[in-house]
Amino acid sequence: MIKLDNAVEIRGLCKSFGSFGLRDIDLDIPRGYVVGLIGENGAGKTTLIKCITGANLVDSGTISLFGSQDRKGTEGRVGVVFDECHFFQQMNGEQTGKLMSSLFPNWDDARYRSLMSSFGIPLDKRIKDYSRGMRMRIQVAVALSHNPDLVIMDEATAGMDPAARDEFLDLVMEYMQDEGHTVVMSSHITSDLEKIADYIVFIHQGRIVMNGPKDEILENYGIVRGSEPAVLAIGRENIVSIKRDEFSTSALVRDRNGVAEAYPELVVDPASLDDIMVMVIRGDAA
Amino acid sequence: MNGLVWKDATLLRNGLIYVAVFGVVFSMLFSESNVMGIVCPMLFSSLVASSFAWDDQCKWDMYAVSAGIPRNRIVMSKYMSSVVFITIGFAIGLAVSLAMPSLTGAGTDLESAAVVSVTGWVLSAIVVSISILVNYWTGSSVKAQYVSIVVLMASIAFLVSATIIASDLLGGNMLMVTGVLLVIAVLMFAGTYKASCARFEKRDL
Repeated sequence: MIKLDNAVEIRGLCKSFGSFGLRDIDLDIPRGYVVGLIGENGAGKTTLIKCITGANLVDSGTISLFGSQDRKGTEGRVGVVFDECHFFQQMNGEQTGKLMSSLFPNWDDARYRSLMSSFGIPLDKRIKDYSRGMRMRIQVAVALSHNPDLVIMDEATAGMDPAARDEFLDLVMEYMQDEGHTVVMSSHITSDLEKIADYIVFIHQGRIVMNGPKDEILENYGIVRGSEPAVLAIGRENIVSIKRDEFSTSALVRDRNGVAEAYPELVVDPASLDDIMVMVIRGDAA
Repeated sequence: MNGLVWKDATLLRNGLIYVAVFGVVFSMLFSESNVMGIVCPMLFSSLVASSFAWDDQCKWDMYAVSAGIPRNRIVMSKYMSSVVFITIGFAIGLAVSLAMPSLTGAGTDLESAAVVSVTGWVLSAIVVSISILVNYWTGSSVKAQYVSIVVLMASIAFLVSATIIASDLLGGNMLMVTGVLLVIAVLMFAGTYKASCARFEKRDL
């Protein structure tokens, strides 16, 4: 088995905020891939991202960034895009670029200006006058302009129109042309992740409930629909979760091809990431 | 770190101008012009608290740490910014101390004005070191800001009173008083920097 070189390695991570917490998170983010983080609101995606970036301190466990637990040598190697813009509202694009150029060793001012131009953001416009989409775009421009090895995006496409999202995904794919680059992207827009993610990590109530290659997940997971007795007949060991409504029962299964072969009378549909999330969050565990 | 200091100065550019104008106008109320050597740097020392407010408003620290900026560098930049602010205050205070007697026709005592201005700079350095530490320890809640203001006012009152008393005890030898205060300022910078870093390292952003 080939051990992938990991950009991030997390072992036994626990972080609590009162009654909520991340528990026993073990996760490897392999270098050179796009990892999608999915989960309902309040699942712990942002907390996990903040633990990875160092903004939140962990209660227990370890996080290694590029092989270093104390984050030495990682300055400028991580680009971040948050759902809220944390740049100074009184500054304009030019000033923000100047600030970033002094913070990041590998700042590429030409790239920044080119990205801002392609995003249609004037450099003399103050951030307080930006639309929501523009605030997201300037973060993306900054994140991609200091040549990071790892880009972490927390709901970066939230609030973007479809054309802007498509453009954004193209930028991510362009960034990934370099095999040494890694992206971690949390999003509620699972169709975006289905397009570009290589791996999917599903966080539910502070725990990782699913972690694997996206293609395998989409190939293997399925929804079985029918009457409750018929669905339960496939065996609870094959069922991830069950959702009962007024007229039928649905079950999320890990091996839809196997179930379809063994129970040809049942309707077995491929499950999208949305389907998987809804079934796990709203269904009952088997 | 230069970028972080530039950031504070850029954001507070209007504040710097307002405080400078206020200081000059305020000086006209006093017949003793040398007092501006103390007042001006003290006024500028209050700007460091505003820099924290700007950072808190957009959660800048969270972004900076996430992007890999070491936490102790963020803390150090506050000290560097405050040195810039109080040095500007020192320059303006000294200029006013020298200019005012000329405008009123009185004589200019360069040595006295310089010593008082340096004393003002050193006192302000002690005040900003306390201010920075209080900001990191109390945080950005409304209650914490009130605590911060009270601590600051008490510090300023204590320091100015102590300086006057020490000057009397040392027979008016301001150079010696300033020298002692300078040592205290260096120790305060170092001690409060360590304590601020320790506090900031433990904070979830």
